[in-house]
Amino acid sequence: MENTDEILSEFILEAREILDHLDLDFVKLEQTPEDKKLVGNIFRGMHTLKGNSGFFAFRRMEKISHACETLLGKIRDGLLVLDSLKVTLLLDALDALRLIVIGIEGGKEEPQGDDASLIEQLLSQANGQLAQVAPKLNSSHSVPAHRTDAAAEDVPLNVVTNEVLDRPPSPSLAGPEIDAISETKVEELPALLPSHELVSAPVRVSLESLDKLMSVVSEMVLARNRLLPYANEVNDYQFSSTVRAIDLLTQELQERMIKTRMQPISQVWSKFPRLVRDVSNECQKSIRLIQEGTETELDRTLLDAIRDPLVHCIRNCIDHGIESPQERIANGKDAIGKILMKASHENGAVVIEVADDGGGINFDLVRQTAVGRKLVQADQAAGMSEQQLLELIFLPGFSTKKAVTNLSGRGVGMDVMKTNVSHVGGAIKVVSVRGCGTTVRMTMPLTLAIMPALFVLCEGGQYAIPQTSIVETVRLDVESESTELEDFYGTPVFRLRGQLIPVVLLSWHLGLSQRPLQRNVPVTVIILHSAGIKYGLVVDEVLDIQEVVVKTLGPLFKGMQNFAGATILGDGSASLILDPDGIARSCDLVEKVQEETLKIKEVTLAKNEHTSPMLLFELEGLDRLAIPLGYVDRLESIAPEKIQRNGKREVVKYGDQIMHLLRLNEYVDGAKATSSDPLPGKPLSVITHHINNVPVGLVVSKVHDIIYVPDMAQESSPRQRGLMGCMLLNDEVINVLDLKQILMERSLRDNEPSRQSIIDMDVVQ
Amino acid sequence: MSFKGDYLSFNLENYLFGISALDVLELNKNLSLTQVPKASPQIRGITNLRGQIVPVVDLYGRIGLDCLPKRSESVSIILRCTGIVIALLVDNVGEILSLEGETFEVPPNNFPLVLKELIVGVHKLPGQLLHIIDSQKIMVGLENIRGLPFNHKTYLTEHI
Repeated sequence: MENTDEILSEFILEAREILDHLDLDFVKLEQTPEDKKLVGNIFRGMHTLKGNSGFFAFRRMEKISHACETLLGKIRDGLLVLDSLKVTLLLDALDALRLIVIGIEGGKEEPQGDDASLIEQLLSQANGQLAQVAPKLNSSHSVPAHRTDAAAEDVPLNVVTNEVLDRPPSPSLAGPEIDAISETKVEELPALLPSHELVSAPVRVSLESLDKLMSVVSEMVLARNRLLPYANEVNDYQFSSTVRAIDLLTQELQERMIKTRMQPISQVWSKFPRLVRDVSNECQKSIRLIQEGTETELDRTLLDAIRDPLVHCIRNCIDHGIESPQERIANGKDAIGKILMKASHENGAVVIEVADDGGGINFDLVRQTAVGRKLVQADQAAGMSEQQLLELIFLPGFSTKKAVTNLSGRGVGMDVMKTNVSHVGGAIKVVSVRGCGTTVRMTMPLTLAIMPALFVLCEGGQYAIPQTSIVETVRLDVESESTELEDFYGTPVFRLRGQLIPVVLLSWHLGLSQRPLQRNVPVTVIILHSAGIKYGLVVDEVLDIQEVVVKTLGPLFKGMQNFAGATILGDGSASLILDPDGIARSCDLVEKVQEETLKIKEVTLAKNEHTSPMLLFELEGLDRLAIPLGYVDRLESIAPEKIQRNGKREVVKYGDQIMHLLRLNEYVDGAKATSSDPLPGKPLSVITHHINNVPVGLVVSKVHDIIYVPDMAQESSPRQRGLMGCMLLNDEVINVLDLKQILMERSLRDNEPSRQSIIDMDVVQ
Repeated sequence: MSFKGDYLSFNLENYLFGISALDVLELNKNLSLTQVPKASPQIRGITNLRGQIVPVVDLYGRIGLDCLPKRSESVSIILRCTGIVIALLVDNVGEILSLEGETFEVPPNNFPLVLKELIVGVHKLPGQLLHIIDSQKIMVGLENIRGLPFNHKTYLTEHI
């Protein structure tokens, strides 16, 4: 009994795979109807399906697949031309087959149902062109092809269809000679395998056993961690070399395990050509789907997580984005709309982009809807930037469509996208240009199972914070001039470079203590980015960053918003992983602050469409310098006594690395030398930048703020050393630093000592 | 429901409790416990059971016994309860008792309703009552942050 169960589940798996492939092939075939090879592939797939279902005596499946095969056989032999009607019919048949497979999976036997009208349609299509020769033959059967769900129980029965059902599967409605052709062709087929299985034969492993394996491997990693210290204690060469071997093997095991869980994104994407075809037909638009980077690999669990968001995204593109063919031609575009799906790896994350060349988001309509739904005041809405309006479209229930259709209009899709993506630690960004199209960019972590997390201490307990949501950590030291926490009528806030940031005390929030923060005691604040807002989390101490294996907390802790899961530490104890989104929600931070962003604070900024963020800082003698924010990795404050020397260079220890310090005033025209150490103990403000993962610290006098400056910089003529150009912002001249030139100059200077005399510089001790 | 079978016995305060031995997966000593802030007061935290995160239920709290300071809570009973694995903290574990159905008796009518689900009855052992806990009901209601409030009061003095 168990044996047949196994064969059956094997059959179901294979049937599903074939059906998925056929889906894809049909849509491809519709675009290139002449592709004989493709027809052959489809025919073989269908035939395998028929053969397998015959083996299990699944009569319904056998009959449907046989009817499809008959139609396909004629297409393959060039007797019929594939048109959209036939493809729709064949796809309907696939859906019916899929429903039967699902039924078999559930009940171990074929579900009851009536496919007579579907089979009849398929056969009448197969006879269709021949019927022109002898139209009388089956005119009574040629029902107009309409979309029927063949497995639905309510397909009306009539005498004709009953007759079909009673007959053996061979299509007696087709002319006898045609029947013979299709049968002989079948016998000629050498292998009954679907084409894709000829390439390689992977082993199917259930997800459950993979998960178990994964958890055993991560346990092993932890056990190894406990073993490692002994190797140092025990002075036995044999023992320590064995431990070393175990160490290496475990590491490799872990890496391979992670790799095994990765699957190409095409697993999810393969469904989309069919979806695009169906939805665009429904909307009467013609759309071409382009997929790039289908081989990009993602963790299995993430693949499941992105499926729904992508479906919503594609539906949005088709229904809202792409205009009707007439409109497109009127706008001077190609009548066929394009949707591009692109996946790639970027900085240890997977980036999925869905772009369309449609009409873009109608920001005026968004504005009107927002005012109409009383989300913002009319005068506020008028001053909102496009980026702020884009935030609105993610709100649940927000829709600019007046009527709800079966495709869209409820305002659910974008909300689903946002929640699903942020649930797995991803971010979503929309860029839209009116008239040119919209791009949705989703950034997802590579894997869910393992992620870097920052460990913090709070009231004696260790908690992990996912690294993806951490923006920076700030230590509010009383001795330095940094601001301390301030009281916003009971709510703690603090100023981060001039911007007020709400602060949550972790110990209070978790109910671990009610101890108020003491003044004049250094506070560690972790700035988190979550649900579109920034907030600070006060912890007792920051420990270290570790790669953690994420485990779920289980159903008992379902209602807990504060934790995303748990992980196991090196000593075998469990530690909780905080959920920055959940904390923000449970503190009501999200709603409070989102209201805040809707109020327009800086209208001047919003007006400039093409601005880029830059960090404003000063050097002695030049007080308005800016560096593109992209070059800035971190801002540090380094005590002068920490500076050490490496030959001519000044270096400091930076994490595990050595960071070279670069005194910017030596490289920029107009900057004066730092007036010989004004205060001996005053820490240096340093902007860190990474070149090929090597940190470089740019020493400046003071860091001001992040500003948004227009993209158009005026090049200075003659060229000023170290500066790219300058621009006006609120009647003040901002000089933009040319970091590339400075870095090049530095390496030149390091390699050619003779140049040193030419350059007007001052080595500060 | 049959009340015949093997029961793992353990003491909480002065009471003897029994739990169906079939549901018990293993007994463990001195599991390291991680507190989960803001969870239901009857959940003491989570622990790592060979790579699996297992919730630890405070059985004292669950059945409304007062928390005694002298509890050692060094033994945990790992059991499968409605499909998930949980750990129960107890002070000590006794023997496994094989009992026949005839010694079983359901709770009296004035037994608090909230506990009737959990403590399904007693087996009358010589000189002592073995309170039978339905292991499948331990989790019921625990998902809510506020568990069911129940405070046990004993009407018998210590020496009886």
